[in-house]
Amino acid sequence: MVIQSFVRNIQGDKNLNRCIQSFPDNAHFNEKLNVGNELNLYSEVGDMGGASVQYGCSSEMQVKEKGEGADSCAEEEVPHDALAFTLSYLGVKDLLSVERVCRSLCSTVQDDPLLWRTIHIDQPLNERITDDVLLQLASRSQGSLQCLSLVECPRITDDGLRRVLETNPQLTKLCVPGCTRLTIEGILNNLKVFNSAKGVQGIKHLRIGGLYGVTLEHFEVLKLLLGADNDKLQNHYKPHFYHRGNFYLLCDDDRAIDIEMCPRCEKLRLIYDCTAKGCQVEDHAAQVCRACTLCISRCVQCGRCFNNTEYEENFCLELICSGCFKQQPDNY
Amino acid sequence: MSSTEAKKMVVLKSFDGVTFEVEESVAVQFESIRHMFEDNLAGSVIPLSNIKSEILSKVIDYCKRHADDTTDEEDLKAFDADFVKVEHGTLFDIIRAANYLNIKSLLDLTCQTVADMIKGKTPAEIRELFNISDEFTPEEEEEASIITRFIYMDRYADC
Repeated sequence: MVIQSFVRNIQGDKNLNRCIQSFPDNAHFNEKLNVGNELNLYSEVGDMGGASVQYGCSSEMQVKEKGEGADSCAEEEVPHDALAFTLSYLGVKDLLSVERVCRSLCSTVQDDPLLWRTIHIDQPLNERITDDVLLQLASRSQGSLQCLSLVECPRITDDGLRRVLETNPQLTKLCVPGCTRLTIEGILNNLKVFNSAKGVQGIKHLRIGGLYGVTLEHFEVLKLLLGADNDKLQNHYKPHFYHRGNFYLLCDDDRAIDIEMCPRCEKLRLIYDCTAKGCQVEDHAAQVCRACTLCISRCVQCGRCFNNTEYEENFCLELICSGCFKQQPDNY
Repeated sequence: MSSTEAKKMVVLKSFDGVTFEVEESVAVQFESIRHMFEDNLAGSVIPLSNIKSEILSKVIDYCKRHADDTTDEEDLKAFDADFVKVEHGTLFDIIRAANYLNIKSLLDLTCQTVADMIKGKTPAEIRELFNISDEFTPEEEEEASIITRFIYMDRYADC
């Protein structure tokens, strides 16, 4: 990885020196790469000295020649170089499709660790992803994986997660809601090992919504491992509303851990706020309509509670308030 | 900015030699060349030797529109939506220019447009969309990693 980034770096510098007016097309790209690897790169330059520079230049020339050759003979048939900039706007599923388009895109996708710094798997890949596939995907980040999000991936095991953690020390966000093969004990063990390793920032954000058997004891240890104190946990977060497709809290939320103690049943579960008018109370502590879905059922459409209102059950056994039910075009 | 005050102008020259005179308030959006006119190089021409005049004029149009505080958000959205309705080749050239000039909002807009085109498509559909024919040989397909098999299985086994 170091060598490869190094070559790109040389390319950037060389182009800049060559002529200030003809900026490298991929200046931005290089810039991004350099930020992550800066320290690494500089130490490498110092260590290897002149020989490495020679190496970098010659491989750059080879690459260039190859690129120009392809351009001149078949301009229409190779992907536009600007396509590479758009890849960071794609998710895992689409990146894997792009990878199978042609040779050049295949290497672009596979060899750019920055594209794999965040891995988010949900439908439809969640059902299929296995420990081995996950490990391969994660390895593409070349150790720079920061956010791993697996939503309802039933094949992922505690051991698979352990292997990913072992090779990705920069991970700070782990989101595994609804992964039914994971256990609270496994997660605790993984987290203990990972967060106590030397020189590792450790996981600071954890999502385990839907995990069974979490006790108060587990919860306290988790909070300790995540470095989250009680005050921080309870207040100051934007409310989480129940909604089809939004059952879990993902990594775009600031809180350290997604589950909390239900104010009613005192079990550790995902807690939802109420969208109904009059149920939202400014002062969090006094809020009444805040609980897990077992204590307060909510409309799958709008997230309100059914307090004093009628509701229906649809074909998928989802509960819908009468207001939303009437608005549906076919009342399915 | 008061209207009575003479506006500072910056002159940009495209790859094919066409010059564009733009207000500094517009040109400040070109992050990567900002230092050139801010370093008091008044009156000098800034060469942009890898941007064609056709593309540069589009980029300047975009920046003019976005520098104008009086435009309301709805209009700006409509303008953006229209702005990206161009041929793929042009869109890619704009992406390249936006990247080179380091105009974050334009890069986001154009890259997101291309990403939305790609989303949900199969490799064959993407090839057709962008007219790419550098395909894999059957042997290379065969050698594809377990990751590829994983996504292909997903695509064909479920339907």
